[in-house]
Amino acid sequence: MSRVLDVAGLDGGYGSVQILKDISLHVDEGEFVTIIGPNGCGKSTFIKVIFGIATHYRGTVKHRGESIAGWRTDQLVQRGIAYVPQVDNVFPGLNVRENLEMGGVRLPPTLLEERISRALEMFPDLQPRLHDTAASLSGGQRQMLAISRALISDPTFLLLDEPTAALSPLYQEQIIERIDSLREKGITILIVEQNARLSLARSDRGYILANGEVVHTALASEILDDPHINEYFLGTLHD
Amino acid sequence: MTASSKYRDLVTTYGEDLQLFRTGVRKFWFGLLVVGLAALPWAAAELGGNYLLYLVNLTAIAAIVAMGMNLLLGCAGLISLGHAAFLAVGAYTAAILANRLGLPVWMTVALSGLVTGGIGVIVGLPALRIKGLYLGLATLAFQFITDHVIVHAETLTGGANGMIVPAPALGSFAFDTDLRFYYIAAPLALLLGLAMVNLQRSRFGRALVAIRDSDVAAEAVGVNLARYKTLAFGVSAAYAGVAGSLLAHYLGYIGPDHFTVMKSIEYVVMIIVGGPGSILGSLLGAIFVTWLPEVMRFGEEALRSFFPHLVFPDLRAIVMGLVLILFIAFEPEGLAGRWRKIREYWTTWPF
Amino acid sequence: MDTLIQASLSGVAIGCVYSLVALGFVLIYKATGVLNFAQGELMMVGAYIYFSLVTSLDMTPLLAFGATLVLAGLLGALVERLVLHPLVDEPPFTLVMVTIGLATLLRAVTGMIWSHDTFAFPSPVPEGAVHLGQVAVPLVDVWTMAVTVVLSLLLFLFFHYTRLGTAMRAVAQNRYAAQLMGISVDRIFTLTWALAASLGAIGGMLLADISFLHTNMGFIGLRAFPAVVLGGMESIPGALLGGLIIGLIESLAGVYLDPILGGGTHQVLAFVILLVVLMLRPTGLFGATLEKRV
Repeated sequence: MSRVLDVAGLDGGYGSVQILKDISLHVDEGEFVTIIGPNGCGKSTFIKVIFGIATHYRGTVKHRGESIAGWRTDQLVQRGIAYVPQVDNVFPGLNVRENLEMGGVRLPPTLLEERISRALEMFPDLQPRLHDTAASLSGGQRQMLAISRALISDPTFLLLDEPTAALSPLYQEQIIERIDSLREKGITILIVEQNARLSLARSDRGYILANGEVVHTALASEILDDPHINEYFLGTLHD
Repeated sequence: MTASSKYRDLVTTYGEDLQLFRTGVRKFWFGLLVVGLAALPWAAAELGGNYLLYLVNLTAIAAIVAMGMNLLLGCAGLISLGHAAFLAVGAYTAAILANRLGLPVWMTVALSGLVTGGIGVIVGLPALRIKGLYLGLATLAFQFITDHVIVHAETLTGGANGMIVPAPALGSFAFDTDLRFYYIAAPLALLLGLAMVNLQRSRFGRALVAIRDSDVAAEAVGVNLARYKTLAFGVSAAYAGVAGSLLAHYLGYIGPDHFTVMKSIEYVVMIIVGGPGSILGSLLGAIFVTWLPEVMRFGEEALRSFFPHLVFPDLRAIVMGLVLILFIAFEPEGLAGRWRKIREYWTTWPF
Repeated sequence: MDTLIQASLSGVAIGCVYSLVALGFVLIYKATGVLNFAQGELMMVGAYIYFSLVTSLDMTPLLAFGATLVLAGLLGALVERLVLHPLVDEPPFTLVMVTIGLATLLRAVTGMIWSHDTFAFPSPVPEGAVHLGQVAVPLVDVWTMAVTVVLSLLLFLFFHYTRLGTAMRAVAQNRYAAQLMGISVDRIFTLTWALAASLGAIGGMLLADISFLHTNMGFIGLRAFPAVVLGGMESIPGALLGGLIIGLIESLAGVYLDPILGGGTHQVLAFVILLVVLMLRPTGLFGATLEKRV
């Protein structure tokens, strides 16, 4: 059984500006993996390189054994990989239902309806706001909308970029809990997060990134208990 | 001790940078230019008779317009889509002054420049509040309003019939041939060109470039946006006004057709073709826009066999439109930019 | 009083044409960020196509109408593919210059093919007028208003109840997110231009019907600019309303101001309004506030 995500020796960045150096990590079937690190460490860039939005210079990126390096976003979506960006992840002027529809814009109507119902089951908070514009939702609801929109394409691998950023603590808990529950549907999760504790508490494993490099990896529980976590963050400690 | 010749082009002091003619080499080329310009009309007359000389004169006038526009667009980044309106102001001012007050040509030209410059400052005032695209729209609105005023203020402008303008004269010597007019237009264009080079290198010019790059940053370093933006409009308009007055005296007749929005677009094409921001660009653009349609005349008959309704203004417009699009797509820095790249290529060639 | 009503109604009719042109501007601007200076010329080309189909090919009005919409749409799509798409990453100012070049080309080519003469437009609407008391409303005006209303309704339904329409709104709101979901932004851009060109063609046919067919029609399209700015550049209802306002003001000015200030004042009024709006409230009545992010 090949890994859902297998990355080795990855260099990447934006255009000619290199951010990532020699990143190697993997995610196995059904896992919930969190990448943490200080601001500017490259964790967002990493997800973007995987999803084809930032530039891939060198290194292998494999999804279930097949290289997906440099693939276009729509090709990745067809492979069952979905990405929830940190910002700009909904259409503010469209209502909730229309936003969800856009998640499956090429699907035949009956299938789309099914997927929308399924997404609403998972995020029932959205049900009463179905005809409200996305701009009128609270931050937490908008995030739920962004995630449920990503689910419409029926992904098996979900990449999330700081899903709890700028949310109230209550919503943060809720969002992480919902993301965790997605595992029951057979979805593999890779999260990039600032709120390390919350996400690691539910993850299997974690990676710490600093200055564009992987400085540490261990089981999530180990990282949480590790007294040196700050030093990893500052880049003063490196495996 | 003087530096070795290899380093002569390096500028080591600020004062050197501001000097107009840095090296002896530059002075030589400039001298050659003056001699060439003086001899040009005779060569043109030999080659193509009066019509060629006519085009040369029009080019000189166009170059003056281009220089003014370049200050606005190339340096300050302010869009003017209605520059022909400024020419109109200059032309009609000169015509009225010459006809009603009998003023000599040097006065009409100077006053036209001043009046138009003043109008330019007024037009520039809204520019303080409006940016980019909106400014372009505003200048376009100004163009149409000016069109309207020209046609309807009949007692002043002669309305749709236009006005006759006396040929420029100094005392009893009239500059009423193409050759004689050249010796007004060319020196004036040269003078204004030198003035523009000076202006661009001055504090004023640098402030404009700062504004083009970022209003906010410019203000942060103490550039008075209001003053410089309106001044830019004023100078640019003044140049156009001078050009307009020259045009009026040269053609002997002006009418609303000389200052249409199509003309404004041609001036924009001049800047884009020549290359925004440089004097050389202004000249190259003026030459290109004045001469290319004439060259296309050769194909006019052929084209007319397919399209019997073809008239020269249409051919001109088609050329303008195509040139505009093609240059934006393929040569955004214009001919001056291409020339600079060629020069760079040759100087670094062995590498 | 009757003059007032008469002038108002004809103002609303011409306002409808301005609304349609403004609509074309807003569609393209909203979706692609480009201000299409050639929108007036697209309107003009549409009118000429219909003219030729009916007079030279003897097509029935209905067939010619349909064919014109299709041909205009194709022209819009072609322009987008050939000219705009290769330059998609250029700054907006550059693209605006390109559309100005396009406008110049379209006008000159149209003059080359059809000449710059004035033509009477083969109206699908019979001569005559509807009489409301002392007021006579030309049938062509009624027709214009009716077409505009129906069109607005159809567009509303399209944008809010079809997937394609929703996708177009999505792209206009967030190009990036749309791309991430696998929506082909390129295709949406092409469709937007095709739609705007077809709308323009309808506006052109109506305008030529109200006045006449001439290559200067595109400039009349520029009079719709104040409508666009008044409406706030990105608002469709704003564009529609703005167009009506401009039309009304023009018509009323034609009746009440022209005798005082001289004929033709009403024609230039739109630009005076544009200047005033740009200086006082560049974001229009409906637009969002312009913030400068540093």
